Amino acid sequence: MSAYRRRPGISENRMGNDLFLVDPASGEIHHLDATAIALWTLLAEPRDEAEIVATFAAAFPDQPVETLQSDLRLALHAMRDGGLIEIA
Amino acid sequence: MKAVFDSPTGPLRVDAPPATLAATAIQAPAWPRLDSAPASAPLITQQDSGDGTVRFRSTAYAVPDFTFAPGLMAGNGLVGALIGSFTVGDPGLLCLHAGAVEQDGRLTVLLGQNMAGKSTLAVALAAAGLRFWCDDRLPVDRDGLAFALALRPKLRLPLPTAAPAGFRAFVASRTGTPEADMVYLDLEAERCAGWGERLPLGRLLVLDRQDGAEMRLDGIATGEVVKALVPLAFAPHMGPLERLQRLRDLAESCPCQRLAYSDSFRAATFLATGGAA
Repeated sequence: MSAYRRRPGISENRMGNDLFLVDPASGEIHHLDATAIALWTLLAEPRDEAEIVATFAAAFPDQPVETLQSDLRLALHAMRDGGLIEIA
Repeated sequence: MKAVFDSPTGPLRVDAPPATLAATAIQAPAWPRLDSAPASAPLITQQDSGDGTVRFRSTAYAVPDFTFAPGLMAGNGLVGALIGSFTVGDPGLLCLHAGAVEQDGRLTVLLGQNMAGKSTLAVALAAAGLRFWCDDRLPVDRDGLAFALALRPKLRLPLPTAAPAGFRAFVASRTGTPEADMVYLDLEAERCAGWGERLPLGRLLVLDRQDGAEMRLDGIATGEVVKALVPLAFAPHMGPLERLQRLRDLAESCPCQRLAYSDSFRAATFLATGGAA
């Protein structure tokens, strides 16, 4: 399975509990929600979807894995569409 | 027809039909005109879109490709191009899509997306006795001083059903030129800031209007305010890192609060009578 990784050149800007990612190439500023922050943190190293889902499933054992997988897939696609992450 | 408008960053040349210039004067009656400008001054031109609408171009920046019906809508488009053209003329200037009223010598800035109720709340605050500054566009310089453009406030018609009789009377007696389902208000000089006045920001208020919401005013973190500011800040001449830092500086320069409310008129009374304290 392909791994996701952070796109090079994206810079982080933390303000308290909030995290903004800045893409100098597009000029876009992105504010991350809690799920996206967790994903971004996790993707400090490239990881595939199965690894990501397994990590979240361990952190949220009460959540059905199918729900986690569906939510994470949406979040990954949104971050990829936003140019923040890419397939390694 | 050529015209020259003054601006915070120098003269702006305009080549637009008389009808558009007249429409601009309805929205921005106090915007000073000049007799001449150097050839190096930014030039704004009105162009035919070929479908009965018009668009604007500027030598100062890439104007978004919006089209406007001739008349008042085109005048509104020209005002936008004027603001964009002078904003990019100062490296430290940005323009917030925001309303503002003067409160104790500083500005209470109303932050919200389109349809959030900024204009209604700003006018309701003016009706409650606070000095109107703007309902849509707020240029702010590097020192945190806001510049008054003295644009007339616009209200959408019909007024909200919750509008009390006093507010309806206030609007009715100041109703100026209509534009589709909008109307420009003619506020008395003492009720609104004059072109070129400058004031510091006093607080940033993120508007959170929801049906049935209990009125609350809570302090919020810098990041929350910056999140609200990012889509409201026009500064194409700044790189994204600089823009983000400017917005952070703004958020850290004054108190930041979130106003939860459902009724703009009750919210205006609440704010005007010290609910903000």
